[in-house]
Amino acid sequence: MVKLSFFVGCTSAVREVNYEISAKAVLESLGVELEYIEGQSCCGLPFRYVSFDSWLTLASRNIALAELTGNPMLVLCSGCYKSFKEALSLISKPELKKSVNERLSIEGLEVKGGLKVIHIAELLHDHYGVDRLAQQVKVKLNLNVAVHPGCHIVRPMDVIGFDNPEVPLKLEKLVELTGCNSIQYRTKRECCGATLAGIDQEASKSLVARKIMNIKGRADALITFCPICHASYDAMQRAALKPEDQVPVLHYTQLLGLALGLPPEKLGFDYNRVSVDKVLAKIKNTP
Amino acid sequence: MARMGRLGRADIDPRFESDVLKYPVKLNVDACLQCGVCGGSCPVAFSMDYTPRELVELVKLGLKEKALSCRAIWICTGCNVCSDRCPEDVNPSEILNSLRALAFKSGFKVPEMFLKMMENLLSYGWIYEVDEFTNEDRADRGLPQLKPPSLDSLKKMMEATWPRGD
Repeated sequence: MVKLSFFVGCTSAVREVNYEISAKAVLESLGVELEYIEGQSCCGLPFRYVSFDSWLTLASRNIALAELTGNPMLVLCSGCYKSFKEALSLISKPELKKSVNERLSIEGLEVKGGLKVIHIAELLHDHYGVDRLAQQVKVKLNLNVAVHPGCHIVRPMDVIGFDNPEVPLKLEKLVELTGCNSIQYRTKRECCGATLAGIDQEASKSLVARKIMNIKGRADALITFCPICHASYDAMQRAALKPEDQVPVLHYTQLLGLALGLPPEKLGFDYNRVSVDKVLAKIKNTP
Repeated sequence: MARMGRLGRADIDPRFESDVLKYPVKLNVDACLQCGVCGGSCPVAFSMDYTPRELVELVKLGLKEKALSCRAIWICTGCNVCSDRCPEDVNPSEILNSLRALAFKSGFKVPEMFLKMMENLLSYGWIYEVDEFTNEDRADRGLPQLKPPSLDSLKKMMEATWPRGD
């Protein structure tokens, strides 16, 4: 049994509970034990865009809490992943680490650096092992799906380094091992535009609509690896597109859960906003 | 950049570029070739008044007011594709972070969203409101309760770093 410190992140914990539910169900069935990090807060990334110091302090505070556990830190969200990996890379500079630790001392905390931060996709592909994972598959899903890699699971590439940002083959592999066919489409690498929702609704809707219209009719579902991307497509699609144009959006862990033979009730599908009924029916009808 | 209208010497702040460069991440503004890979890669350039390439040029020209009051710096989603593809390591996405931070510090208009998220952070420790319904829902699903971190110390840390009291 592997034990990991679990950083849940704001979006999975509050808006995208089906990601947390399905990730936990999948990891439990694979024998990975999670321990929620006590005292965790927002990873800080949203504040990165207006206050470098607020961001670095928040990110380092969570890193310091995780370091106390002595285990690697697991994240579900690509935003949290970027936040922590960038923070760890920056606090390797002594002067930045010193100023951060002065602020953390308010709470009696100290960040050391060197913590291992793992995204759930990285855990499954690199650490659990993609071949070993493929052997656990009990139901070949036989769906046509569109992979949405998203940005911060691969970028900035010199800090993340998990997969090739231009052609993220590891993510494709994780999807294909469930027995799905991953379709190619023009806007695959495009950003979900989540941060735009609070600034320019129309621009955000048009980004979402462009991707969905690109895969409509060819894909049974869009697959995401980040709760923010999921929220963006699943929620914004309903404002941007007519019901007949909408495509279900599944967290990767929901797709994997089905392939591992877990019952759909355990994967939080009732939280998906665009109906997933057709996807589930198609799997049931597969011999 | 015809849309900039007539510019005079008064529009130029000779210290602007060095202010932008005072950022804890390495930025190579002077290395920019104006090749446009950044703007061509940008998923949201269609909604910007200045593309990332043009923003770098505004910095070089010292056009502070234009750069800090434009819409483009808030449209950027921070996806990092421009920095990953830049052939000269100019780091446009971090230049935009520096511009936003300067705009915030200098009192330019900042989208409400950021202030609201900070308000939530200081009340709940998360960027969203966490009420009893959130936790009831989590309990129904066998998920642990979301407890706020130590809000007193979080507030002190943010007071030391967040540019504005609102």
